Amino acid sequence: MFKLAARLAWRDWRGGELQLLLVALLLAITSLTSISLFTTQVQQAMVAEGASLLAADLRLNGSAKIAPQWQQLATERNLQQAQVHSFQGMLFNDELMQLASIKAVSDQYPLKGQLQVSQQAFGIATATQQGPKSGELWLDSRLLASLDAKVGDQIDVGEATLTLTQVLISEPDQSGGFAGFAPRAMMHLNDLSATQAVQTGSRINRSWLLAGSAQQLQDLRQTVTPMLYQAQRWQTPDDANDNLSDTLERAEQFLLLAGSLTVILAGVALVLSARRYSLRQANHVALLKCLGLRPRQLRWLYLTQMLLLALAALLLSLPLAWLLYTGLLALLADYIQAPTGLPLQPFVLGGLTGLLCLLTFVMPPMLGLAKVAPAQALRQAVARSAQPISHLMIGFMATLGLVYWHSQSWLITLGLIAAIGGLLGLLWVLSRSILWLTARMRQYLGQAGKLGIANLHRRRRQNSMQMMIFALALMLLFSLLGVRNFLLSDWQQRLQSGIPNVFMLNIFGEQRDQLDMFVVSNGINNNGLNFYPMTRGRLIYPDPQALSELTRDQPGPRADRERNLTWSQNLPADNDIVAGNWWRADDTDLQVSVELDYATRYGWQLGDQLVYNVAGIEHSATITSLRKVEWGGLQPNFFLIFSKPLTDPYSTTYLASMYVAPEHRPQLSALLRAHPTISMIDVDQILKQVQKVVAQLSMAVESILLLILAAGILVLVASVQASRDERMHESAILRALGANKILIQKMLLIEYITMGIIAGLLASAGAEILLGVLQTRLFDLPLQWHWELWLLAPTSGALLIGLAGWWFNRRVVQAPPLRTLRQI
Amino acid sequence: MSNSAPFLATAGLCQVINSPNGQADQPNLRILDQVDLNIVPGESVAIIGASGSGKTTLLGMLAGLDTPSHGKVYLAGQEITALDEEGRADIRKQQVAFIFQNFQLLPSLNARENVMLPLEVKGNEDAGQRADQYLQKVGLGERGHHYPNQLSGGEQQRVAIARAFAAQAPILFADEPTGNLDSDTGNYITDLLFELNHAANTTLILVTHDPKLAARCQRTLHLQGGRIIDTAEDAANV
Repeated sequence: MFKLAARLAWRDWRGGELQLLLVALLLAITSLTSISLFTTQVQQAMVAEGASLLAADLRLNGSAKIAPQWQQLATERNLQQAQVHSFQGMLFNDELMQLASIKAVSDQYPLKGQLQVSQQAFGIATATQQGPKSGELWLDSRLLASLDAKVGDQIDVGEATLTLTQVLISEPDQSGGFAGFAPRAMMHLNDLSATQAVQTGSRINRSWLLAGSAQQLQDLRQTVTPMLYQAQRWQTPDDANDNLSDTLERAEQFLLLAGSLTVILAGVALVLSARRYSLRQANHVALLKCLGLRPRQLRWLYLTQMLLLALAALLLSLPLAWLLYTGLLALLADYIQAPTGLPLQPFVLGGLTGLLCLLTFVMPPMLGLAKVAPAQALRQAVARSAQPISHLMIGFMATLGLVYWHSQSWLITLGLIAAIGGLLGLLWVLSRSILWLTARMRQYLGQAGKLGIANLHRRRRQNSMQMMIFALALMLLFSLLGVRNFLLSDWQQRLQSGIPNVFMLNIFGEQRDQLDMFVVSNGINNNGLNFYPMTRGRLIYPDPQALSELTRDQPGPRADRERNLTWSQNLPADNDIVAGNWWRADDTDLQVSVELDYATRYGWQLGDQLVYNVAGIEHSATITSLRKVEWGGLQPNFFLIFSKPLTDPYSTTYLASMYVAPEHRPQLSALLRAHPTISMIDVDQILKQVQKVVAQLSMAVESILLLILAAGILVLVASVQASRDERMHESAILRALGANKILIQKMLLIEYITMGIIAGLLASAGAEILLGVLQTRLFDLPLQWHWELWLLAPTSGALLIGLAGWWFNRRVVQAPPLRTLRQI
Repeated sequence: MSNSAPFLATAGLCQVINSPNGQADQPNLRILDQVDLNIVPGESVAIIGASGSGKTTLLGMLAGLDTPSHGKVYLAGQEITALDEEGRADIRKQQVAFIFQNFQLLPSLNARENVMLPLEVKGNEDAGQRADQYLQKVGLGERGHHYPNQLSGGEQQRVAIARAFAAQAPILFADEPTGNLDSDTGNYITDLLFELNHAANTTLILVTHDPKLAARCQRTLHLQGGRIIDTAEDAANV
């Protein structure tokens, strides 16, 4: 039986019968495996990225010493360890001195990520895996400027004298934002005692860095946690990846969504191809039954054939998936490290999905073939059969399972299935009504138009079904295109040139004009600078201790710390008021506008009173608006903006940000020397890192979209193919009755273009709903109306479906009608 | 008619199609009505009648392709109406060969592979060799690698005849074997069919509405309104 099955499968393949089925299966396995491989890699990269921002896989922060007993426990678990002690201290270079944030690191630092160093201030960076050796000191560019130092100088750190050997450009675990804005110095931990800068009672932060297997780390964490001192906190990569987590998370969700859509598209393509194949096989089966094959043998025959097909698809698609994945990885080579070993799971997932698709989408109609009556061989009927509900249900349940399996998200699964289920109903009603309308339009059309519309109307059941499939495919494609567009436009904001990469703080009022002049005259920034007034203030009411206690386990800023406060008459450009109103110029009372997430964190609402202590004076303000802030844009932003100045003009300091092009960076040293009181935060490296990742993820999203487009087009082709035999038969009869080629071609074109337009319109409605759900629920973005969809979907529907219909039916008019009639 | 034990027989064969749902007042349609017949080994029998007289339905029942509403069919000593589809498939494999009006060649198989098909289903090792031999016999020895759409109607039917005889089944059912062919080709096909049938001594059941073709058989059964109304013995067989 196996030999017969293999022989028949080979002959069917040669005859072109199995090709579309194989292509559908191939596409299903290839796209799912490669997307799954890629997603796994992106997830791993996210963890690695987080780890490099911690300089470790796990980190313990606090002021207490790390007990030798804990270090012993880590050694027993084969974990890598390093220590970092951070404190504020004075640096001296001859007559010049500067307060710095000093970091004393052990030999192994950093365990993850890289240090970037240079030989001159603001110079070109090179990467290194090791911190300063004993006796060495590394300073950041700002310190070099304020101490007027150069590489090779002897610098005093407290009581110790160290040699300046490198300029520190960036460190993996540099804290983002404005918290760590004191200029950085880095030295070896062994030299710390010699500085005598740290005495009993000094403020110091001791970090214990750990790296190794996740299980061992978890085990150590569980063992050590009960012994921790107060204020010692664990930090994991998830907590550290602030700059990129949002972007990576959205990219990952896009990939999972894309994977799920591929499952549905590939499933539909498979169902259609399998249905066409099984219809064409009906006469074949009747004959085999006449020749004495039993129903059981036929079932085995088709099962064997399909398994052979699956095997062929697996053998072809798994290497193909690997190639595709390698290609995608090559695009992202700078960001995603080459994998240490090829993960097996995605291959298993892709292979099993293919097999499951085959069993649930393809096997039911194949096994149903065994029921074909052998007496059918005596009749000349063209096989036609309705798809039994049970087959559709099996397919639907399988889709549900597969989508969940791939996305691991109930939101995606249920959202997608509900949207598709609801849409199918809507599409059915709409397509029937539109067909009814077009039938009324017939009288105004020419001969070909009348025949085309009549054709559309006569087979409205099949056409409605076909239109639903067209609409479904277009809907999924345009939804994904929509998601890609809003993700990319969101990301594009971070890729614009001229995003500020240098922040300056502690600018006094009278320094503003000089700074403005400096940046304009040196060509650093021709438009001058925008200054934001800024002061530090501490919350008095509501009770900050209680608030901090309440939100202790939530990530985010603490209420009992000093905050940066600002005031402004105008709403900043990339801020949106989501509740309340911005103040008017003539308002006399003190008002405050709070960032939405910050207000939510502490349960503050419009009308609440906040009291802040600024330089010893208490200010009471009413919350009159809540703002949504685009933090990803790297523009200066504030949690709290007040309506009036909180300090007198003489003691107000300002914040300014600007973009400094690489060629102007060396001039920053001169600027710092001229204004030694100004603190400068250089985010160039962080910005570059974010921009690189975003650019590469955008490329990955585009590549995946292309893959899904291929799946969508396959569905359209399969759907056109599915009704080709019937159309060929009808066209042959029409031609035999005297219709000429042009008339039939026009008729087919009108029929398919009409279906394309209708399907496009339906798809627009569906995609609009789906995009609404995805944008607001999955990607946490504001709801948007996509007017361009209503133009694009019907146009591309008409083009794609018209073209596919014309191309795949061209034989209808090329072959002599007698031959067509004979073949059917 | 010979006196030997029948190879194919029916008893009270009826095929009734119930009236469609909701039309209980409509009478049931009787396609076959109490058909009794006996056919001995090696005999050639033509079933003739007008369109819709039930010829093809009767052929389907006799060959075990369909089951009757009532009555029994015996083939090669077995009551095939008592068997399930699996059992009837076994009988067909061992005992039966077919020639169809619409040839029923598989379009994805070439002529040789079409002839090989029943032999492969039986598991014959020399399927290819035997297919070549029978294609030679029907004059298509050089056309084995051609596909059905590259052959004329007459040639396709010759391939179908080769396929039927290559199986070497004891009984051959032919449903309007010349129905789709012009008269010259039809005559050629008829000669070929009876020549091979004679050589193989196969029992032949032939459905036709062509009296000339029926006259080539030893016996003719006239079917009208689902009943056999007349049996004529013909001496003009080959």
